Amino acid sequence: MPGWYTKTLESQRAGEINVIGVILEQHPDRCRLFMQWKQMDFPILVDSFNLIGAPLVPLTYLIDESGVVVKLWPGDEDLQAFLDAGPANGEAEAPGYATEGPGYEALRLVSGEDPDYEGAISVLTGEHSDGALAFQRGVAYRMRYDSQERHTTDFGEAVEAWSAALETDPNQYIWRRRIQQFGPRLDKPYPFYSWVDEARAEIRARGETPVALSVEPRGAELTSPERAFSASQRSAEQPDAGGAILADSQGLISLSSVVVPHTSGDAPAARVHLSLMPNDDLRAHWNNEGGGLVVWVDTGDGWRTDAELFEVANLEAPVSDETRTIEFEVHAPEGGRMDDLRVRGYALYYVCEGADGVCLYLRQDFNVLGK
Amino acid sequence: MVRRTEEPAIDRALLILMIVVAALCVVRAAPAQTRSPRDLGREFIAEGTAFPALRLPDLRTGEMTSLESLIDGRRTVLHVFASW
Repeated sequence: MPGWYTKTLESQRAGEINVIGVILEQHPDRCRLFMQWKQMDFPILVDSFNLIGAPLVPLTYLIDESGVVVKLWPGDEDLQAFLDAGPANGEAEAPGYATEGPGYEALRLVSGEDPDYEGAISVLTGEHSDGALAFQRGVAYRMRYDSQERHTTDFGEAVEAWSAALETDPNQYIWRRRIQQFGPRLDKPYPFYSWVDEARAEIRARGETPVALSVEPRGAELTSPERAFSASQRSAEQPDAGGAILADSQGLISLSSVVVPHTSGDAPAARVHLSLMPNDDLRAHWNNEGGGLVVWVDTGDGWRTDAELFEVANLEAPVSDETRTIEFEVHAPEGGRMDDLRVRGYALYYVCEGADGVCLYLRQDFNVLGK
Repeated sequence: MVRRTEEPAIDRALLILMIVVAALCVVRAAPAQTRSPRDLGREFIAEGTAFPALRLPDLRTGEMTSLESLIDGRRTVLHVFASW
C-alpha cells in the first residue's frame, strides 16, 4: 500500500486522483503510527466493527467519478488506463448499504468523549446465528477491556463472540484475524505489530515524536509465527514448591484467564492470557517496594508449555494498581483435545490493602481449564 | 511513603485453599477456510457496481464522515486495509 501511495503521489498533487483508506483494526491509533512511519497522508475512515462487511484485507479499488468500482486489485497498467480515461458516463446507482442498524448504533455509542460500551454490547446482543453481530459484539467487549471501564471477563467474552462469529462463516478472514491477533504462534499468518518498535525508531531518527498509542501491542500481537511448537526445556525451579507463602484468601488480587484457541480444525495449540488486577473494592494495590510479580505454571499429563516461570517487573512508583498480564502457549499431547486442557499454577506478589493497610507477600493458586 | 512488607509465617490451614479461577472462555475452534481470498474479494463488491455508502469516524479527527463526501466526484483509489 505504501507503494501505491508513492505511485499516485504526482497524480494526487495534480488533483487527478483521490486516495482514501478504510481500516478494519481493533486499535486504530496503530494505523496512525503506521501512516506517520511511512510518511503517508490521506483521509482514512475507521471501521473497527467491519460494518462494511469486508471479507479480507487488503482490498484496493479504482472508483470513478460517479462512485462505480472500475477495478479491484488494479495493476500498474490499470492505474494508468484509469488516469488516461475520459470522464465516466452516467450516474452510479444509489449505494445499496444502509448506514444504520445495530452495528452503526454501537459505533455511535462508543464514539465521542464518553463512550457507552455497555450500551453498545447491549445493542449487539441478539441472535447467535448472526455472525456479523457476534463479531461486532466481540469488538465492543474488547474496546471496554482496553478502557478504564474494564470488566475482568471482557476479553474472554470478546474471544467467545469472535469464535462464535467465525463458526458461522469460516471464510471471513477479518473475523479469523481478530482471534489470531491474540492466539497461538502456530496459528499466526504473520506477526501483527512487530513493526511498531522499528517505526518508532525511524520516526524519532527523523526528529519527530511518534503518535502515542492508547493500548501498547504486547505478547501475542508481537510474536512471530512458528511451524512447530517450541516447548520449554523445564530448567526453571519452582519459586514456592513447598507452599510456604500465605494464600491471598481475601482476594486482594483478582486473577482471570482467557484461552485463545487455534482457529483451524482441531489443532492442539492455544495461547493463555492471565490478567491480575488489584481488587478495587478492597482498595488493594501492588507494593512496588517488594519484588515483582512471579507466576508459575505446570501443564502436566503430556501437555507442554513454552515456559513455566514468568516475572513481571514493578513500576517505579512505590505503589500502583495497573493490570499485570502474562501470556504462555500450551500444546496438547498426541491425541489430546483442547477441552482436556488443565493448567495448574500460582502467582506470588507483594500487595497492600487500603491506603494505609498492611502489605503482604501472598500466593494465589489457579487452574486454567480448556472446558 | 515507605511501605513495609510483612513476611507472614506459614499458615498450613490456608495452604489447602485453592482458588479456582472461573473467568474462562469456552470456545470451539472453527473449521478451516475453504474459499480463496481472490474469490471472496471479487464477490464482495464486484467491478461495475457502485461502492456502498459508508459513514464512519475519521482516523485523525474522530468526526463521523461519509465516504461520498471524501470521494467528492473525483476519481479515487480506495484502500481497505490494516496496518498489520
